[in-house]
Amino acid sequence: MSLTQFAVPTAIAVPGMTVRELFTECVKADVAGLPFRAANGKFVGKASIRHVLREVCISQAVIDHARLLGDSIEALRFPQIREQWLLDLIIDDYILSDAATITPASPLTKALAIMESHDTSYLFVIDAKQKYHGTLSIVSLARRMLDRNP
Amino acid sequence: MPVGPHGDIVSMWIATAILIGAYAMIFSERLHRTYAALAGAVAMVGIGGWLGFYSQEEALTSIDANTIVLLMGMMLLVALLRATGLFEYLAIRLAKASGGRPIRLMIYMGVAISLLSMILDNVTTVIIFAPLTILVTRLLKLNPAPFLIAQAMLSNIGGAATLVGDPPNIMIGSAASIDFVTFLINMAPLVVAPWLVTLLLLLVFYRKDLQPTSSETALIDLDENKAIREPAQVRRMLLVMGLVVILFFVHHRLGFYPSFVSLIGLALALILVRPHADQLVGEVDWSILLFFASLFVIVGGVEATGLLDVIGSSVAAAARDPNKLLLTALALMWIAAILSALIDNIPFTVTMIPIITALSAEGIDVHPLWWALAIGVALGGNGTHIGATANIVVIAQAERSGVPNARITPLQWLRTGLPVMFSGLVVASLAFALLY
Repeated sequence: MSLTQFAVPTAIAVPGMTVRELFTECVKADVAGLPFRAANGKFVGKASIRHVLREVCISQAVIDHARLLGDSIEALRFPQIREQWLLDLIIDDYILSDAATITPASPLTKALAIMESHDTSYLFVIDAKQKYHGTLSIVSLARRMLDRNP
Repeated sequence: MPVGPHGDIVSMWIATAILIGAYAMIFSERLHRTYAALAGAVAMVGIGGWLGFYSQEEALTSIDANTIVLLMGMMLLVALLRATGLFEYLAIRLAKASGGRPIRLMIYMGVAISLLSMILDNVTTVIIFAPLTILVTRLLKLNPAPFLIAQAMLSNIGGAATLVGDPPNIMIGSAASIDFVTFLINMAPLVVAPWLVTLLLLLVFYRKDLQPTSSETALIDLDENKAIREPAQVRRMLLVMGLVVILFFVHHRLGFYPSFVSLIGLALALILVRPHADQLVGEVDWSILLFFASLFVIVGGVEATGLLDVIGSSVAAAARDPNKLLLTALALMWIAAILSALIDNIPFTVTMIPIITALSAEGIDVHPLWWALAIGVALGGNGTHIGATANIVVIAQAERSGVPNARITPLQWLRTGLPVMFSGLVVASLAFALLY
């Protein structure tokens, strides 16, 4: 059984793409990130909504002490961060090189193992010829199972 | 020229060349300092054994086990204490006690971090306090940079007060068999004056940043109670640390090495807290311990050639005269400070220890030299951004804070660090001259 049938087709992130375009594509396909293809045609990482927000909106000190935070912490918002400004950013500076990928012929168990080892809930199905077949997410997997077993 | 116990002048030159080569590699930072030191140690033992001036047995005995075990024991105790969340609790309580007033906040945090640094590793203390300081200052709409700089500088000085507060002190205390109380009694006056001057200068330099903002009354909405994961573990660790501190004060009366005291505390803590063994062992900075052990082996090789005795004898003539001893001590303090501001203070300390020990063998009271060395390396650490590990920690934290004006540049550090260092040296020298 090819993993392609579980994967959700999505757009590919490329250099020069804006955060707005990334978010739009992710929302459209209901995925948390897109594979990033460099100018040389090779997939070199991923553009993730979570990573962009983490890098731009919160500092490590806030993350480290999340459990201590109350609700009156408006001052922890970065003053320079505005939603419009954020959406206009170019994604190139926010690419994660650690993208989980798998080939279409791989078994589902391997896909789950790779997701766990990368601490992620999605991975990209890419074949040996660097052809992208879609994103396999834990949600798409569950949806597929439910569809097959109504 | 006299020859060494195992070697001759050629051996001295060769051992010195190995030491200089290893130190050059360490200071150039082209290679990780631990790798460079280990390579130097292996070269010293290999060549020393081949030429007959340094045996493997001598190399092993040159490693000061008391220093290494004490450092390891305290690292593990700090890791256990840190896991309780007590430091975070303390930092938030202090921030709230300051009422959001910037000057009070700097003083409260500075006092707390200095006191903690007297018993615990100051780098760990800064690592814990710095992110919370960033959070608190951002909630108060203040620039975190002055607070971070103050914490690093005050903890560097605070750590100098005790036998266990700073690695150079541990080495000095161990090599000279100085007990905790003697160390504290002699170092406290030398530490208090520079500490106060440093705080005063920081308050003056950063007076604009320490102006209360309109949001001074802003809520520091951090829940300190959520910092404590298991109150029972806090009580157990406080019991252990209390016992360790008491034992440090009486270790010489009981005939305990400081390292043994740390092991007593550690053993008790492990039984009471029962942490995950593998995770806890991972908390030890093995790289630092290997670095220190390698330095001991390198300097042990030079010592084995008799070169350090020769240097000691040369200095002894001057140091015998009480007036010249004072000058020698002050010169040592200033040289130690200036070198510590520029390069890693540990290699310098490890090299100076056998030289001062050699002076002691000449019948000279070298205690003032130990204090001069200890205060010198501590004050020097404040001079530049690379002078102490705590400085590097707060700079990294400021960088990661995401606050544009919080970034601490090397030049910015120098503008504060150099006046602080030299003022500290001046008052420490005055206190030293009065006392010795």
